[in-house]
Amino acid sequence: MYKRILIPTDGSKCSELAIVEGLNLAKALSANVTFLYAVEDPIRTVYMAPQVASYHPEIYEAAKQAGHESLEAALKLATEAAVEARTVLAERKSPDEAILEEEKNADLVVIGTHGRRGFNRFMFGSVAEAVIRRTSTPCLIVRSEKNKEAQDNA
Amino acid sequence: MYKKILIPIDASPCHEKVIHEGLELARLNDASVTFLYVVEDPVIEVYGRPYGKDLYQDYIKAGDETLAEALKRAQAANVPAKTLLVDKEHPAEAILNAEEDHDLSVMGTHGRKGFTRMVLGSVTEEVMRHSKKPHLVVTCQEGEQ
Repeated sequence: MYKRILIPTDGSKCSELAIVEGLNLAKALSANVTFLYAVEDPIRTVYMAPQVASYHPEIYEAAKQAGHESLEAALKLATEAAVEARTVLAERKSPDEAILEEEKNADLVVIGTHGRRGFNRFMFGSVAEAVIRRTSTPCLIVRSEKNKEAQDNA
Repeated sequence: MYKKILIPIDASPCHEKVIHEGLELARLNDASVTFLYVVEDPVIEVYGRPYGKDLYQDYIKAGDETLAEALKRAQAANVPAKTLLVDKEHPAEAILNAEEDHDLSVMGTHGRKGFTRMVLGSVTEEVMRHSKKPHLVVTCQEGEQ
């Protein structure tokens, strides 16, 4: 059924859980995976005052570097799990834009969410929510362990 | 990896796709499935009316039939399946309770174009807010069966 699984990552613990879940499923279904990291243009995410504009290229490069490192780490997990994997670094795109674009080449998306307690309106990660709202590809939504513990301890 | 899959179903057009997707995943994982049908609360409010009891029984009957249909499809797909009809309980609560014994739920959403705020089914949304388990969310576009 699912042969091409898209697993977006942002390098967080939460997305690591989605990676592990996605790799387990890929293994069970003999599917291959694509890890996706979106590098957003800092101009869209932080206020770039004219006085700091000169830092812009440097910040962007650092963000890209973080992306490469996250993808490398994911690739390593795939190799350990003996799952065929490739990586995509989407430049100057928001995560949901990048996911909605890349999912055209996938038949399942595995997304981690942090599921914050209390804030009902922001229960899903905003990215997971934005994707589910607009996608036509099935999504496996994985809740982060951290949240599980928080709930268990609550 | 997933051994016990919960598939809550109702009479919405989306549930065909949900059943299909859930059975396929179960088959490939050697998992068993539970079809859950919840007879909603508001039905109980008509209790006390002259026709209340009959109406309620007919809702139960509709649930039984939907579940029997799903069971048939599971048998055709060679997937071990059981059914569970829950009544007098809020749908999201009933699903959350049933999830305790399962390791994945398959649920549908109606991906209505334009109405982005209403895109998740309200039950699906409520379940996902409170659940700790993974969910396979299947989107049914408007008009899709």
